[in-house]
Parts: sequence; C-alpha cells; structure tokens
Amino acid sequence: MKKSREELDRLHKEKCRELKKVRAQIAADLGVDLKQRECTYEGYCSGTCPKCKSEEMMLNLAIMKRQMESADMKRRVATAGITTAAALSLTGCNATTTTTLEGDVEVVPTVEELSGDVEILPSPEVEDIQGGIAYIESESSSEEIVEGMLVAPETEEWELAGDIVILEETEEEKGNE
Amino acid sequence: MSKDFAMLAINRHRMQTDGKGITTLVALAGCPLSCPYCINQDLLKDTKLLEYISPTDLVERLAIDHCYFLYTGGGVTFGGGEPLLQAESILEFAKVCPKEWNINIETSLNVPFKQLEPLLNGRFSFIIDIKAMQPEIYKGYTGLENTQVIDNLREIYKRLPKDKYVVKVPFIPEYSDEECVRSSVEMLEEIGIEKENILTFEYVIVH
Repeated sequence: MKKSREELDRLHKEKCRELKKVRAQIAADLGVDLKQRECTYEGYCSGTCPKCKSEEMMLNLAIMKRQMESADMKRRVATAGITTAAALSLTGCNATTTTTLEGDVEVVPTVEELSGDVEILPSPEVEDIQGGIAYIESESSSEEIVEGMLVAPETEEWELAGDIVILEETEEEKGNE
Repeated sequence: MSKDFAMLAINRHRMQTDGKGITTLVALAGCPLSCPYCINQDLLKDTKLLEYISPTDLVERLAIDHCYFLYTGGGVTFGGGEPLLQAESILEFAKVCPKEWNINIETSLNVPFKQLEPLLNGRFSFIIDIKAMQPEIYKGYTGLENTQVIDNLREIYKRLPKDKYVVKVPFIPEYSDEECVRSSVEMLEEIGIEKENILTFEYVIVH
C-alpha cells in the first residue's frame, strides 16, 4: 500500500529531526553556532526546508575554511624547508605534482581535483604557482584581488607569489552561463 | 560520446538503505531488465522526467550534502535503472567529486563485462541485487539470462576486497520461495562469496 500523505509527513519530520541532530554534532566539531531552534512548522513537511538548507551551507562553508587553513599550514611547513618531500599532499586534495624547483613544490591542481571543495568553481588552469591556497573574491570580471595584490586575468601568466588561486564566479560570469 | 548522465531523479538524505552513513541516490535512466516488481518501473517509462547533466554539474548539485557525506562516511549511490549502462559517466564523476565521498553502485550486474571492468578499481562499492541464481527463475522474473551476471560476480569476487561489495538475494513473491533463496545463497558460497557478504531480504510489493 502506498504511503498516505500523513504517514509521509510523519516520516519526513522524523528524518528531519535525525538530520538536525547530525548537523548539531557536525557543528560542535567545527565550532559553528547554527542557532538551531525547535521547528514549529505545522504544515506538510517534505523533509527539508530553507532553514535546514542554510544550516547545511554554513557547515559546508566551515568545512571548506578548515581544509583551506589546514592546507595553508602544510604549505607553510613545506616552504619553511622542514620537509624535502617531492610531493606536497594537501589535506583532502588530489593535487598533481609537476616539477620540483629548488626544494619547493609546484602544485598544479585544477579546481575539480581539489577534494573537499563544496563548490565546483570555474577556474583557468593555474601555472607556475608555488605554495598554498588563497581564496579570492572577485569584484569585477576584469580584476581579482589577492591579499592586496592586483592580478589581471587577461594576462596569461598569473603573477602570484606562493598561492594557488581559487576563483569565484562574478555575477557577470554567472549571468553569461 | 557525451559523458553526460541521463538521470531520472535525485533522492537525498537516505539513511542506512544504500550503504554506510547518509547517502544521496541518483537514479539513472535505462535498464536491460523487465522486472515486474521494479520499484522504479513508472519512473523508467516516464521520459518527461529525463534530465541530462554533466558529471561536474552533478557534483555541484550534490555538494549541498557534503557535510553529511564527510562526517557520516556516506556519499552517492548510483541506481536506477541500471547505472552500469552509464559507466563512463560514473568514472568521470569519480574523477571530479571529493575523494571523501563514497560512491556506491546499485546494480543487477547484467551488463557486458567491459562496462563493469573499469569500475573495479577499488573506488566504488557495489550493492548487487542478484534476483536469483537459478537461470529459470531469473529469466522468468527479468526476461533475460543470468550467465553474464554470474561471470561478473566471479570477477568482482576475484578483484575486489570483501568490504567493497554485498550481494542481495531477494525473496520474490510468486517467483521464488525460501528454498530458492537458500539455494541461491549456497550457489554464491560455491563461487567463494562469504556469508557476511550475502544479504537475504524480501521484495515488498507496493500496489
């Protein structure tokens, strides 16, 4: 017998409660305050809602931040010369090593190869980059700002020192899709 | 050939039905079998629901549940339909998705071995619904022979570690009985598949 709407509603609410508990545990581990409160919605429940989704997004963002911080720590350790390993393995990343240059490691990942990223961000292939990861928010399609350095995307060479670039789509680029 | 998925539906927040942790089921279109009790029979016939999506776009769509996948050991389960018909797309998906995501494949295994072989690389786990090991019962229920299924099973047993597959043997009302199920389990054990990798269950017919 197919489930009735009432039964589905009950099952969805039950699932939502379970997921809420899981999110609370994840938030505790990440040190994130989700500001959870009891759901008072009385209508038909589909098992998720904008509030649930916003909590999921907060957690995903916190995870990405933690992985980037961890990767940055690894970069600092590697470039400090503490390790002479040929491969730099970024936490949660499937980075591909290219050549070894004077003990430093060139890592040339494409965005899709970075494990743990929540968003698949459109990005050019990054060449001749040494070091860790910087998160860039671009404000226009013509300029990207990285920690005070201006980088022109029209040039073929990305003149960055020590950073792998992850680009966020501009509103203009999103509109062009 | 395009590596886009022909997809029917996405079902999120599945718990303990498709492998470990919290999983998302991606139902893919197309199946060589004609099982009368197929839970997705109507879905498979409804071409209006069909959506073509690239592996990269699919990763982006599923990424909302990244926190659950990471923390519960969950991930993505490809079902359908017969997901191995879109093996190339699944391989491409595995290249672009976070490596922490487990990828499960719910399959009948009734595909040419060349569709299965590239996925026997240890990245994927298999949930295999064997229907029945007896050829006459299998053909009666699915409309096809099961020779290829058994050959594929032998390859999975040879190539994959035990924690990468489970073989489900259903009790199919009006097609098999307890004795058939027991006999299927024995035949699986003769191939070498161990009891802990075999799960018996019952099809529940939804009217």
